[in-house]
Amino acid sequence: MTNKVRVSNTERIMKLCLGLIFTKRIVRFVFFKFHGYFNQHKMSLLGAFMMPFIVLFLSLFFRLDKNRKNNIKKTIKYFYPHVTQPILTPSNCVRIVLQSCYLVLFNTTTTSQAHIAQEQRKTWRKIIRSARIVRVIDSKLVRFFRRAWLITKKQQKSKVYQQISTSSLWKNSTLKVTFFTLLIFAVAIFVTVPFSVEAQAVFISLILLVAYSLRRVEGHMATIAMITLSVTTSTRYLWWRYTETLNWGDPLALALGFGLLLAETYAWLVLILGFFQTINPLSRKPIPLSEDTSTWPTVDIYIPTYNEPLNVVKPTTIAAQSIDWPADKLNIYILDDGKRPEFAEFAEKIGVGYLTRPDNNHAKAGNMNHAMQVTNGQYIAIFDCDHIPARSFLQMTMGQFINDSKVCLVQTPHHFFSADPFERNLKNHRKIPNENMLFYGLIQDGNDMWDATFFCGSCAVLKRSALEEIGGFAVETVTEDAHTALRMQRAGYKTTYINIPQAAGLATDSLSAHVGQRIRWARGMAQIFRLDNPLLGKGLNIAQRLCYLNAMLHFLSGIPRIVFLTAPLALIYLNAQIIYAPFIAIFLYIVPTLLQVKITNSRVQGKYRYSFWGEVYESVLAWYILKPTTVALINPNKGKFNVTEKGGLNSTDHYDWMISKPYIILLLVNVIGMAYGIIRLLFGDTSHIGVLLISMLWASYNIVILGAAVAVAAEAKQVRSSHRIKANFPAAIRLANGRTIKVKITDYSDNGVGLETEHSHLCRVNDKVELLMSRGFKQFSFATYICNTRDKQIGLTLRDLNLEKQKAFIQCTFSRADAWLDWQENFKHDKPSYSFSKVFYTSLRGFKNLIFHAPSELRPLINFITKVLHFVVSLLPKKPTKVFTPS
Amino acid sequence: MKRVFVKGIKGGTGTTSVVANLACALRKSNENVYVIDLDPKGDIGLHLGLSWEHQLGWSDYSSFRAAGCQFHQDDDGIKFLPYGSASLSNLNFTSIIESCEQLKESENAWFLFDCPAHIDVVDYPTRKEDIFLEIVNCDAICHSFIYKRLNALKHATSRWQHYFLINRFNSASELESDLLQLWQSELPLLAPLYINQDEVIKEATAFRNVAINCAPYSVANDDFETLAGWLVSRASNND
Amino acid sequence: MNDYAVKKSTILTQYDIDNLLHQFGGKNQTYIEIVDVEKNRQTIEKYPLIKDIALSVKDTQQVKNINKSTY
Repeated sequence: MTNKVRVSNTERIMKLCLGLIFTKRIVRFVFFKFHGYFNQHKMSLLGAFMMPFIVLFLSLFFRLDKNRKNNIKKTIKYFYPHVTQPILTPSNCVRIVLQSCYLVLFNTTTTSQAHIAQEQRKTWRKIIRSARIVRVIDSKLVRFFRRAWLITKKQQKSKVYQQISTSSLWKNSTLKVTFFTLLIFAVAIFVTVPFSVEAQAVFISLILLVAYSLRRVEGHMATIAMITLSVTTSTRYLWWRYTETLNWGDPLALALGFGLLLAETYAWLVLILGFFQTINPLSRKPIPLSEDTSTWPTVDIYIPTYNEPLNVVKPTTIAAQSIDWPADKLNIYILDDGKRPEFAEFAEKIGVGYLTRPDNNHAKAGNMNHAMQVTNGQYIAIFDCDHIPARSFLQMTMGQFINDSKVCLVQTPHHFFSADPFERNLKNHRKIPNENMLFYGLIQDGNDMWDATFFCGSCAVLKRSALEEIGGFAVETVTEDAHTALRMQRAGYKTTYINIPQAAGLATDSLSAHVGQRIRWARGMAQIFRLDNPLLGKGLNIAQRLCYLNAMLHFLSGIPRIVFLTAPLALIYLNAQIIYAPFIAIFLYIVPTLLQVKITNSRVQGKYRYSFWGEVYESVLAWYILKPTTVALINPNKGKFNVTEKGGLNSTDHYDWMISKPYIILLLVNVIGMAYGIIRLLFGDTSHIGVLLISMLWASYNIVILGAAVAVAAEAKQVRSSHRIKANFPAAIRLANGRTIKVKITDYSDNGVGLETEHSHLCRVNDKVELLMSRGFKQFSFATYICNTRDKQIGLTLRDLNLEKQKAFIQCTFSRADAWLDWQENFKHDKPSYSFSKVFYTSLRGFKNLIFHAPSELRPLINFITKVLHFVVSLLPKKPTKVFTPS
Repeated sequence: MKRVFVKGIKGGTGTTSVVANLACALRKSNENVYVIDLDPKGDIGLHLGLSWEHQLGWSDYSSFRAAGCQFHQDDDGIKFLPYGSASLSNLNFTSIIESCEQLKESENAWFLFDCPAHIDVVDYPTRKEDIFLEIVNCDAICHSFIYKRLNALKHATSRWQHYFLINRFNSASELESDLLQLWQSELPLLAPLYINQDEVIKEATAFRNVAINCAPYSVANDDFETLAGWLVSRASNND
Repeated sequence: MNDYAVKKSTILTQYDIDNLLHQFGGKNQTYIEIVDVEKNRQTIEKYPLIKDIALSVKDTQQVKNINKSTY
């Protein structure tokens, strides 16, 4: 009250003062306006007091009636759409100034808007048309080159060619030696002769042209030609790097540059070895067995387990029992290192062997060695306890042993029906080939060509006599599988691979478990190299040694990957010229070589690994396999066997900060580097702009890759405890009224089935129906309940199945011979641009995840930054929108 | 001409409904189908839409030519000859079977004979390329009859294609699935398919139709289509 | 009781089965599925009538004393 009284006192004084100069009406107007401005428009005291006078002053020149005023307001609102209500704030001043400049300098009139849009459309059409022309030319060229290739091929088939190719001249050894020497000499010259920048430009563009023309030509010869070109250019590139680009004048740049060069040499070696390994993949076909089953050999199936729950081991054991093999020649054993009574009971109940041992020495290898002593099958099939075999497993594989007595191992792919952490967290299950796919789809087939198939510890059959000859499974390393295969190969046995998925299992269910598994493999491979180096020792041929070397190098990728992720920063932060060459030379050497290698790799690996995803997978693992491999290389006996945990459940979405910490740091360093790079671009030395730009381009690529790597760490929620497996096979349901309807099974899990009827059905939830599924000529019926229905879909649950029925269910679903056959056909051939866009969007999601999952301590900071950004954006001039036109 | 004899190994195995549905399935794939009823019970007509009062059939005529007027055609185009009331007895079933060749367009046609269970297999004038389907149910009696039949066939002098076809299979029954597995692994001459039990087959006759027409999404439909396909492949094996 | 010769005639030997397949079965299918011998043995053991028939058709000399089972 007092306040109001005081105000009205001042008001009274003011009124008296004003009354001296103005008429009573004007004074009243001034105070009316003042109250309006002050109370409603929240203007400052002074502003509110001054405004009526400005209005009065302006009214001397303009006639301000209500209409006019509204129009002016509208016009101002139109030109300054983002100016907020209390007009006289500093930010609004900035907005008004910027907007005024913008309005003065740029054409914003709406009358020309239509014209502009038309122009835009025209340009767009032109762009589309030129793109189409490029595509047409491209396809014409491709067709032309394809035809050219076919012509040369046809000529090869002519008689003269045959005469030449069959002549004895080729068998002359001196001629061979001379030929190879000449070839090597020619390649050496090609690689080492120094070119001027212009010559390099011509050379590289020629090679790119050939590579381009070969790109879509089918056939293995074209692939080999592309590989040859890639090898030549990349070797040439490396030679150039070693001879011309080391900055001997600057010790820091020299040290850093040499580090990068070593990493590049590693990448080059892996590339060459990779090409060698996969140059001619041997797609081995199963060999049928004789029809007389009495001649078939005896097989023991080992299912080693340590701490996995019974519900994981159960389906595997049941499926193993239903493998199509004469029952008297098939023995199944659960090798339980956990020594759990419920496992013994289960084994007893379904009639399989149960083996334990007094100690737990040497983990899985020791477990299997112990089992070998108490069993006596001629062959040993091994399934990790979560790999459910198909019924055709043995008939698909055993033919190799019968065909060639030197074969000691038949490996089949590890197929996973659940999404691995990468697929789940990046949400690309069945859309992008996973990490495994390259190895089992291509590399193993390539290895098989060179008799160097690796043993992968599960889903494989081994020959007992071969194992006994080398003293059982190798126990010296944590990857007993690879080491065992190596020893058998040294003993003169052959290992083989059949790329037909004949078993499927659960993928690791968290990123940390996945990384843990890879750490074990990396450590194991390093151990093998220290204890039983495949490059040395007897019994292996050179190709096998190289395949092992490549596998080993693959696990050493930690350091080089981190070097690549940080290399561009050397120039940005330290101004260290790690590639000491003029901008144009760098551009001419690096970009075409990378392009060439990418195109070739995309062609070779296309169906099994999409471009750029390899970098993502490798980046995630790089930091973690770095330490164990290094430690194992120095001291191979350190470190113990850790079991890969499977079958768990993530109850909520969460972010694995622990695992992504190194990448967040790398990411921060790169982002700050980019910011610093921009500052340097604006204010720095102009002579460095070229290399700086290249470095920044590289850094931004790294940021994209790292973004995708941190995206993986956002662990998605796992809803179901049992995984739904997509399927497509016929079945039938018998309703309570006795009618039998044919249906299609669309998915199944270990306690339910999803199916689709051919027309809309009249089933209701909780109805009891009988599900009829067949396996070969046999048919099984299951009592089920409907748990959900939709138009043509029905979800069924199976409740309280007895053991017999469980067995039948697994036989009809998981262990179907064709259950996993379509896994590789799902993927189209790689398109690098498409693949990059996928990586890019994944990366964006990674950044989003980072912000979304940020810990609460960081929240205020993030909020603050968002607000600042928002504010800065709000200051920028805006184009007047076409909501209405000023009259 | 392709001749298929369908006979129950004992009475009540569901032979007539198999014949009717099989005929329909064959007809659906544009085959020319004749169904000849050799069973004095004479109920095939009811499956194929003949009126209940209809009495006459080939057994009421003195010659096959005269009985020709008793060929009926159902909505799907199946031509069938009912047995009739046996008022004249100068035609026997063998002469009917043999006379079928006289029909025009008979070279590529299918002849399905609905045979009574009480006449022994060897009494039919079967030829090498004929197919004889013996309908069985998954039960112990049929099991015993099958082994009796196998022993009889062992001494047979002529040859034809003989198969046991399981009808009304119900996999929910433990005995039936046990027997099926046993038969599949030990029984020679078991057809590699079976007809599932389906309420629709029963219901369809009440609607004066066959299951294939009534319930296109039923398992019965699938089973008969498979059976027809299999028979086509068996028959073409002869050529 | 039947005499031995007549009883012998109920036995289905592998030769008989091959013959039957040849005479009445048309061509044999190529698909071979592994036979669950144990399961079949259990089935035969389980049902006395089936066992009876199995004993008659197999070439084994076992005393038959089963006429009606209490099963």
